Formats: sequence, C-alpha cells, structure tokens
Amino acid sequence: MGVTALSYIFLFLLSIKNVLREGKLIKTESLEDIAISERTFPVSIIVPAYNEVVGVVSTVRSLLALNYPQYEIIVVDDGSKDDTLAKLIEELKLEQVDLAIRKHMNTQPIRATFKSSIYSLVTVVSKDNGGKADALNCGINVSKYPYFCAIDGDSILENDALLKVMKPVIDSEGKTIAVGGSVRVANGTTISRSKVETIDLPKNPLVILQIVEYFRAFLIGRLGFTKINQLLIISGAFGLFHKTTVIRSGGYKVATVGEDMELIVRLHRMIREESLDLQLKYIPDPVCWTEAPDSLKVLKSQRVRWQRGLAETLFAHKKMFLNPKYGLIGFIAFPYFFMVELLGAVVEVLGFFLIAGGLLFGFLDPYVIGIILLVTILYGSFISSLSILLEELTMFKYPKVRHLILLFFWALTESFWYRPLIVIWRLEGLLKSFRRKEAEWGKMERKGISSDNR
Amino acid sequence: MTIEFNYFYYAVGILFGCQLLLLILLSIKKTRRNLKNKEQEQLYQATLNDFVDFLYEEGRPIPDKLCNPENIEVAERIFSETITDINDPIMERKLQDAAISIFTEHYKKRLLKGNWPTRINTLYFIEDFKIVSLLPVLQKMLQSLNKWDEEKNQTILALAALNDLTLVYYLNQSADTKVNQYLDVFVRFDTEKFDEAVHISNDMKNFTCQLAIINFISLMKKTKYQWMVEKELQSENIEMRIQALKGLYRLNYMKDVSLLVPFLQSPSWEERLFSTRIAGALLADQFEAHLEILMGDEEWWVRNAAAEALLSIFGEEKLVQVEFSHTDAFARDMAKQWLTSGKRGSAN
Repeated sequence: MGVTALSYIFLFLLSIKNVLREGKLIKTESLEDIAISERTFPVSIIVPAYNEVVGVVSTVRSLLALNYPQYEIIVVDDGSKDDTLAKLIEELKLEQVDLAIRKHMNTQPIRATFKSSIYSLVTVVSKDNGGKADALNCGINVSKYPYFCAIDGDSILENDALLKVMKPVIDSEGKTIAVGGSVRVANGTTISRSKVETIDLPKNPLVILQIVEYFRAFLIGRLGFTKINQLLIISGAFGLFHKTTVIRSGGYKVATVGEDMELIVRLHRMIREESLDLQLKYIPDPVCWTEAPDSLKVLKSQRVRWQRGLAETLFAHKKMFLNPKYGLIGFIAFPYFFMVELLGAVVEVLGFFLIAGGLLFGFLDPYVIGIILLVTILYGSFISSLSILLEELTMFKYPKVRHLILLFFWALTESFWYRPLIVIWRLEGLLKSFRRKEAEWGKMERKGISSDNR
Repeated sequence: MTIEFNYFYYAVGILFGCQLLLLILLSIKKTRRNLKNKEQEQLYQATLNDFVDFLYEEGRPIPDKLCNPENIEVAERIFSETITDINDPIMERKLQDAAISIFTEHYKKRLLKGNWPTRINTLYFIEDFKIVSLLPVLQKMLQSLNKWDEEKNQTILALAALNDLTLVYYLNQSADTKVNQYLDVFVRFDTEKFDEAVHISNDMKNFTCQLAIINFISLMKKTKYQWMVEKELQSENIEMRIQALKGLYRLNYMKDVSLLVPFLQSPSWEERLFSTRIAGALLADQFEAHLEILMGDEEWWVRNAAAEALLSIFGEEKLVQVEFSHTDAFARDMAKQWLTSGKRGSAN
C-alpha cells in the first residue's frame, strides 16, 4: 500500500507540470485548424455491442452529432440475445446490403450487414457471438478509413472528442499511432445530443468514489505515464488507433478479457522489437462519458474482470519484465503494473490478515495499529485530494463548492469501505486469471446516460 | 519508540491539515471563479448591445468598459464571437482597428512577461484579431525561439495571419519544416501573398515547400495554378507525382487526360488509385479496358475506385457485366457491393 501511495506521488509530480502548463490553454482555439482541415484523417468509429438495447441507439445518435470532417460509424452486434439488432433496425431504418469485406483478422462469421437509409454514415454488422475483441476485429475488417476509434456501446463522446484525440496524430505527422482521452463518469450529469448540459454529482457514494478513482487513474496515473512515454492502458471505452499498425500487430487478442490493455502492451512491444519511431499518447481532456456501475454486484463483476485482464496481459508479455530490450517500459511501467496494480491487492490482503492476527494473538499493540491505520487512511485520501486538485486545475467540470466538499468527504471514507472491497475483488480477479476461460462480455446493467434515451 | 510514535502523530496532523487546507483553498478559488464568471457574464450582457451599435453606426465610440484593462477577458470574448460572424470587409477593418487600439499594449506586456499558457493564448487572439501593430514584436520573438514547439508554431501562425511574407524565407531556410507547417501558413495568407509565396518558392526550389504548394493549390481549388500541378506529373519524385495526381483529382480537371495512361499501370498502388479516381471523375471512357483490369487489382482501394469509376462512366450495366463475367473473384465481389450499396455513396 505504501508503494502504491508513493508511486502515485511520483506520478502526480510528473502530471502537475503538464497540467500547470497546458491546463489554461484555450482548447477550442487549438482545434480550429483541425476542425476545418482537409488534412484531418478520416476515422471509422467502431461500436461493439452485446445486449446494449438500452443505450446503443443513443450512442449512435450522439456519434452522428460529432464535430469532425469525415467519419463513419460501424456498430457490431456481437450476437446479442436481447433486441439490440431489432432496435437498431427499427430506429436507424437499416436495410440489408452486401459489403465486400477485407479479412485482415479472422472473426466469428458475419450474419448480415446493414446500412442506414436515413444516416449514410452508419453501417451495422450482425455476427455470431465471439466476445468484445472479436467484435472489434470484425469492425476493423469492415472499416474503410485509416484510423479507427473504439468506443463502448453505452459511452457518449463529447462533440469535439475526435478532434481532440486526432490533434496529437496530426501534430506528430502520423508518428502517434494511438491516443486515449479521459473517460468520465456520466452518472449525475445531463447529456443530450453529445453535449454535456449540466454536471452534477450522483447521490450514490459508490459512484462518487468511482469518480474520484477515475480522476486518480486518468489525471495522475495516465498523464504521469504518458509524460515518460510509458502509457500501458488506453481505455476500451474510448481510444483512437492507426488501423494498419493495429492490423500489423495482429488486432485485438480474442482470448483475453483485457483486450484494450493487451493491445497497447503489444503495440509497445512491437515498437521496441522493431525499433519503430512511433508513440502512444494520452490527453487529459474529458472526451468520453460512460455509465459507472451503481450496485456492488455490477461493480464487483467489472473489477474482477479488469483485474483478470490485467493479469492475463502481464503474464502474456512477461518477457518485457525488467528486460533491457524494451527500454524503460520494462523497468518502470511494467514493474509498476506488476508490483502495484497486480500484486498490490495480495500484499494488502496479507497485511490485513497480519494485523488481524497480531491483534487477536496480542503481539501487536492496538493503539499503534490504530495510529498507523489512521496515517494510511489519511495518506490514501490525500492522494485522492491531489487528483481532485488536478481536475480543478484542468477542467473544473464540477461547478459548485458543494461538489468539492462531497468529493473530499467521500475520498476520506474510501479506505474504510470502498478500498477493502476493491482489494478483495482484485484478488478474486487475480485468482480467476489462473483458470483459463473463454473471453466474455462484461455484465453491466445499463440504465442509459443520454437524456435522448429517456 | 516514543520518538517514532510522535512522527505518526505529526504525519496524521500534516496529512489532515494538508487536505483541509487544499479543500479550503480550492473552495475559495471556486467561489472566486464562479463570482468572476457571474460578473463577467453581466458585463458581457450589458456591453454587447453597445458594441454592436459601435460596429454598425458611424461615429459611435468603442464602449468605454471594453477599454478598461480589468475587463480585457470580456473584450476578448466579444471580439472573438463577433469576428467569426462578420464578412463585410469594411466592418472587419473597423473591428481590427478597434482590436489594435484595445489590445496592443496589453498583449505586448503579456508576450514579454506572461507565462507559457498566457503567451500561447495571447498568440491565438493576435491571430484571430489580426493585430498588425504587434508584427515587429512577433518577428523578434520568432528569432529568439529555437525549439520547434507549440509556442514557435503559434508564433508562426500569428505572423502568417498578419501576412508576413518573410515567413516563407524563414521556413525555407529551416531544414526540418514540414509540409503541414507550410500549409498552415498558406491557408492564413491573403490570395496576393500566396501568389508571392509561389514565386519565392519557385526561385528557392525548396522541395517541401513546392510539395506543400501543390497540395495547397488543390485543397483550395486554385484553378489558375492547375498547369503547375499537371506539370508535376513529370516529376522524378514519386511523392510529388502522387500529390499532383491527388491534386488533379481534387481540382477535377486535366488538360491532357492521356497523361494518365502510365499511372493506370503504375507499380505504385497510390498512383493507380488516384489515376483511376481521376478517370472516373472526368468520365474518361477511353480507359474502359484499364478500369476493367483494375477491378481485379491486388489493392482493395484501387478495386473500389475502379468500380466507382465504371459505374459513373458506363452505368450499372457495366458492373453487372463485371459481376458475372470478370475472371477475378475480388472484382466480382466489388461489383456486387457497388450494385447493392454504391448508389448511396456508401462503399465499404
């Protein structure tokens, strides 16, 4: 736990410089050229969907409102058992068409392809169930543009999201092959037609703590790692990729639940092994809003899955661990994810048992333990408050002082209830990773985040 | 043990104190920001009508409140919003003169003494408001910037917006100037300045600059330079030839279509692609045999373009013929796709 906390301080120091420098820039000005430029690369947006009947149509509608010169939307229905496809056919007025599809990667068979008769940008593919990675690979096969953007079936992009993530690609003249942006928790906000209209905090403390957690992960973790070109995760909820490079690397790996992280690690590996002058970037701007689980059951399923994905990815690429061939990635990011993000949960659980045993058998002084626990708790919430500080310095999305107080208050309680739960679920995820299972879709009970949907 | 234990008390105190302090500071900052935003919104609402009157009525002075340095952010907002809505050259000139009188001194101070984000934001505004009075300051600034970063880039863009032709010499002398950087400059130049830039580039014979010019001519549909683009089809450099083909496709015009023949058979798939597209766009029916062969090209994009071209030139019957009689399975698939979905322009 101490190592975790110290690593966050280190990452915070890496992030703060960037935030102080770029946080005050007028963002719309820097996007003006891209918005009107014919030089902006066209993008295929791939929306893999499995049982997303609640949110998928509003996601597509929000994508239609994006401010971007040229793009297409490809929804891949991965053999949903609910009415996802029927809803898409009805709402988007789909007509079945024959498409000549390039098979860059093998996927489960395609059942049918559709084009919307009212929105020329929209293509829908219906295929046999094969998991999220398989659906994404199918979307890549169908896509026609040189860049693709993978987004979750119930995420809403801000209308200049694609412009923001494309900027590093254009600035680097194509040397940036993948870009991730901040994903924010949409619960509590009002979103309509791809525009966030009002931002508020949800009432559920479970979701509030996930908001704090997202701040910490994105504004401290990813921003810090991207400063030293060590970004190992681009969220599956929203990421932009250079298609040819992804195809060359083999596409998304089907036999894992952490297909998003696995792809990024594999891209890093390819860059190092082939000495390519390419990079992956993260931008702190919030570009994607997603629905966070608001029940313990769904949150547990999500975290177990995340941890399993992390473990599978790290084991699959264990060759990179402390290997000079992979440069600093092998010595900083990889050991960090292995020791802190993967094994951290084991150490913490052992610590809990040790303390409980010590107290039970009387070889630890309860008073001393109490004080140490208090320091640990305060240190944890201090890190969270630093992430709230970064949010305030960059985006200040939450407008009221009341929001600040609530975020600080719940951050203070994190170590009492939220963190132990997460630790246990992470441990469960780690154990499950040893049992080989087929890739599956996460179980998320969607309520829908766009007001267009309600 | 007692001394070590005291450290924990200190740690508890410090950590709790830090968080409390951070919360208080952020709350104060947020309250102030919200208050300031509210005041600025009120001032904006109160001044906007006076500003519109100033723009439309002869002899009306600039509203006093906007000249007050304390209200500079509101002035910037009003100017930014107005400048995008105005197309009349006389009014543009009036707005530009007003911006020069309000912002020049303030911006000079910001450029010389402001921190990095302040300088960059100032450069954005100088570019938008075209504050020509700051030209010497910007030229000096550019000379002092060695590293090619956001600041240098934005200084160049601001100078381009002020039509500073010396930029072309500056960029041509720098070995690492990219095509996109030239394009960013050209897009900001007035037409006459671009014409002069073309002359300078022809004299200096800088390859990157010429590549950018060919690119820019087609992007901006500058048909009077079409001859320059067509001439570059003879270039020995493949990148230049591809840009020229791409340019002719965008311009949708060629004086001598027969020049396409070698490109339709080129070993480079990009050359085959763009020459196919041009043939389709110009409805050049003399290339029927070439296009039929290209329907079975190894590159998907070329097959796609060939199908589109055959459809535009000869209609559906030709694609039906390809679908049933072409020897290549990929060609037949592509014809089928265009026959079912091509009319909506939705080729995969």
